[in-house]
Amino acid sequence: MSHQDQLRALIKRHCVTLITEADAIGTHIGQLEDASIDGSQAISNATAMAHKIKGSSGSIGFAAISSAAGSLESYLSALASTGMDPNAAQINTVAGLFDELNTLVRTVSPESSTLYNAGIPGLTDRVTAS
Amino acid sequence: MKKLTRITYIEDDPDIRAVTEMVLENLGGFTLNVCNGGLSALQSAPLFKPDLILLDVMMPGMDGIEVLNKFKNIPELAATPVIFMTAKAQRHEVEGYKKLGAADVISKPYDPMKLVDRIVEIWNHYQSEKAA
Repeated sequence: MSHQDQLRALIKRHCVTLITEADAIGTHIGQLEDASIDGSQAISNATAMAHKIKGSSGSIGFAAISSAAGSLESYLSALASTGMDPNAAQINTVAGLFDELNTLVRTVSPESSTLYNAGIPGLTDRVTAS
Repeated sequence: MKKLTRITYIEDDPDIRAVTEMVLENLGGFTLNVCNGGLSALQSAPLFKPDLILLDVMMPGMDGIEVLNKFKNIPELAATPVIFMTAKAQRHEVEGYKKLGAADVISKPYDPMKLVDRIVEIWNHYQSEKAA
């Protein structure tokens, strides 16, 4: 298998991982409306997962997903810093940001990654180029 | 100036780790010691004796800052430059990491195709400052 084939396999795997991670965020955000569950823990968990997606998807060539995850992470971090349970309007905003991310994750194709056709030259090419 | 050949790379995210490992090996031609967390790095890096360490900051269990502090107490690694790789890389955060002892910071997300050039740039700058 060539390096490019390995990279494409990795991109495809990442697309599957993204769906699992988005599902996890959805679960955490859903808990914000459940008064019996610690909202701050749900926000913390969702923030951590959004942070993870921001870093990984951006480094694997999905800038739009990274950006959407970053927006969700920023808003959740701001909510957490208030130390208060979110109100209905804030929960709606969170849901909207999550929907944006979730839609991107569920419609993304591996071929849309900027790395899909990037081409990883072999070491010989690199040495020759430099 | 010493040539950069050996890198210890520590990252918990399997997808970032895989793509980064691929470019460091195939674009950079580096010899790698790849670790999925601080504990395995503390065991393997002193034996590997890297020229440079790439260290993720936000990791479960032991975060990058704790790992860096432990490296400082290991004779084989105490003088090895460490580059933090993190999504928390606003100017004040970068300055904070440098005060803790990081040679520099690479912001996440990064373009893997440009990563080798960035690492070499940091390495050359670090070596120049060390020689001055």
